[in-house]
Amino acid sequence: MRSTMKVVTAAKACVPLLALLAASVADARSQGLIHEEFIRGDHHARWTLLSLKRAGQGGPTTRSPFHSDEVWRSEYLETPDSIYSDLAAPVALAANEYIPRTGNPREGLAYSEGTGLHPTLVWPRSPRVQSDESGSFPIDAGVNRMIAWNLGLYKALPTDMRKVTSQPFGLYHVEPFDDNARFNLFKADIGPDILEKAMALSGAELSTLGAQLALSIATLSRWSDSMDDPERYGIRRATLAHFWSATTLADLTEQDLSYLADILRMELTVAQLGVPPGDINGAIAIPTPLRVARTAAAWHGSRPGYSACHTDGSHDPGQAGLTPERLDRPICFLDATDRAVYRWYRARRATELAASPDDFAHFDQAARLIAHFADVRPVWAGAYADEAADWAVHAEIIEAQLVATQTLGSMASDEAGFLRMTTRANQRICRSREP
Amino acid sequence: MTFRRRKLAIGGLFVALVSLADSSGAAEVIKEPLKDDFLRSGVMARLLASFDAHADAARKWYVDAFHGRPVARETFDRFGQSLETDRIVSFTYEYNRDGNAMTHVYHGRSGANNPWRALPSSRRAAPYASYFSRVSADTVVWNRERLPAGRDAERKIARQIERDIRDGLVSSGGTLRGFSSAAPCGACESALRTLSDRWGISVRVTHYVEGGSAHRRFQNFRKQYIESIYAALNGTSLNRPYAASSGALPLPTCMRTSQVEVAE
Repeated sequence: MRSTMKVVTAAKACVPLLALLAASVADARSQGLIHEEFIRGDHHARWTLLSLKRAGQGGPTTRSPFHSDEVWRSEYLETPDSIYSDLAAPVALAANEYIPRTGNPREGLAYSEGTGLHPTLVWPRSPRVQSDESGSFPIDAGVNRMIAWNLGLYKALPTDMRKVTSQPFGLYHVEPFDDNARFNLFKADIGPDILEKAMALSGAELSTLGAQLALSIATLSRWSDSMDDPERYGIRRATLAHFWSATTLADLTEQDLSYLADILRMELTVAQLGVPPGDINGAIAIPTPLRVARTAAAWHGSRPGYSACHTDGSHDPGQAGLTPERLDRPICFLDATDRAVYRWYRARRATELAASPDDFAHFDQAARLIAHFADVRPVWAGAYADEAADWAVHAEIIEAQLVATQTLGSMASDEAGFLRMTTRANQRICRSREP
Repeated sequence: MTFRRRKLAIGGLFVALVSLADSSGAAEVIKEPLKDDFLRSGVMARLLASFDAHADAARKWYVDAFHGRPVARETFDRFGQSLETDRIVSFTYEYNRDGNAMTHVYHGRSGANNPWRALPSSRRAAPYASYFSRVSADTVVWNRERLPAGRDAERKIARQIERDIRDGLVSSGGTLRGFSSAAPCGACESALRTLSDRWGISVRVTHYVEGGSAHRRFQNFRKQYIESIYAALNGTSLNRPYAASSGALPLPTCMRTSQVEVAE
């Protein structure tokens, strides 16, 4: 049965997903001052890539423009050693600016490579320019907030927000979960319906893998909703249907679980580029590992008997733990930084995976979930021991992924820059076992 | 929380469809180039899965072949080159059997699966297929050292599916959905067309375009995996004790050991 080959060429309309900087920078742009190939809102990527450009223009003895994770933490946290630290002065919060959004900081802000060690911020319509002498951190609080947000230094419910919870959380309902889940789910950008179903399928014994499952489903839902022709892009809607109709894990096929694990691997590998993953009022997404951790925290924080926070969301010193790895004394998820919650998540996950088969109500199904999800790792950690995942939320790794993922226009790093960032991340991971 | 449906803007996507069809209802072969999906599709997820499966085997072979010793960068680069440049594909075959919808996934890689036999100082390791981990019951990672007529990833997969049909493992007449890290070669298309014609299988392949953002990201990610092998085994500039030694050493602490089960 022979057929003839025909060629159909269709030019797809190019719709600008990537919003460019506002028209207010047109003058500066015409002078070659502004780089605009960025997604609005991703100032961490901008700062990193421009720093990389500065680094590439220096000689071998030039100081590195990059900050270690410890330096970022010292700059942005009031008490860096505390898991309940507030943000420090450079990122001081205004209540209505708590959540970095794609439109923040104000659109007139732009960048120049500058001539010094660090990138230069400019406001084309005003005389304000960050000079090379003004310091090694952005002078704009909004930019600092966005970087701190991306580095997991925010809480679920910050101190400044406790009295203004009507905005922006007021309309965010998470029934059947309570307020402990509410703010964690908001940070995770996971719907309560997805969390409830995923946890019902995974069981309490594997809640941390259930959180991974929830993240994969949320991602698949987002892809599916945003595509006119999902099949064209390899999006399996059947898996979503199976998930929603499942009453036990047995209702998900091997291919469903395998596909969802593939999605998780990808999401752990890439760095989001300032585009919100779903719909949390335009808020910038936090990195995927933190989203997974917040999802698990939402569920555990709503469990009967959980009592580590005051009603206003602050931690109760008489109840709340201070060390996330101590699972016998739970931390207050609302008051803890995203990073602290991630440390708790990693410890909780290790404990769940070390459990005896006798500890599971249905180990045959649990074993399937373990087989598919327990060893999913980001590609950058391909050869590393599992402990490498502990570093996933540190600046060196996040910035390497921002460079690896960012491939837009003239600001894309060259090969040398990319390898420099990858080597820096690898040095961080292989140098020590303790994050 | 209300999730608003968000239209995906696909900027810079140029789709060319090459379809094979006739009025008699023959199966068709469609080829679609994809420059960028802005990380909102299953293409990257599947390609990373396929690459991960092959790189995992390569990593274990590498550790085994060098006793966990660090090697010269030149030797490592020879090892990494094929992992970095081979075409990676992932095909999902859906078919019906006894009224039930069934799915098989085939992860493939172009070139020889074990092209490193002659690396300096390497020792004879176990058969290469033994370094592959089982992904799942319905997922096949093409792991054979003996090659079919060609080394093209698509040809390997087409031959494998044909073999599986003949062996009764899967049924003919299904649909084959493929993703590739680069455009299929002429012989690859021909192999897919033959598979389609012979077994009534509809084939649709989406492939990255060299120079596109999606292709570049994929390249970056696989380079990162390869570099992690070097860093884990050789240490880094801040971790030189490993690199300074010439004798057999325990694996560095940052090297993954849980699946290195192919020892002596």
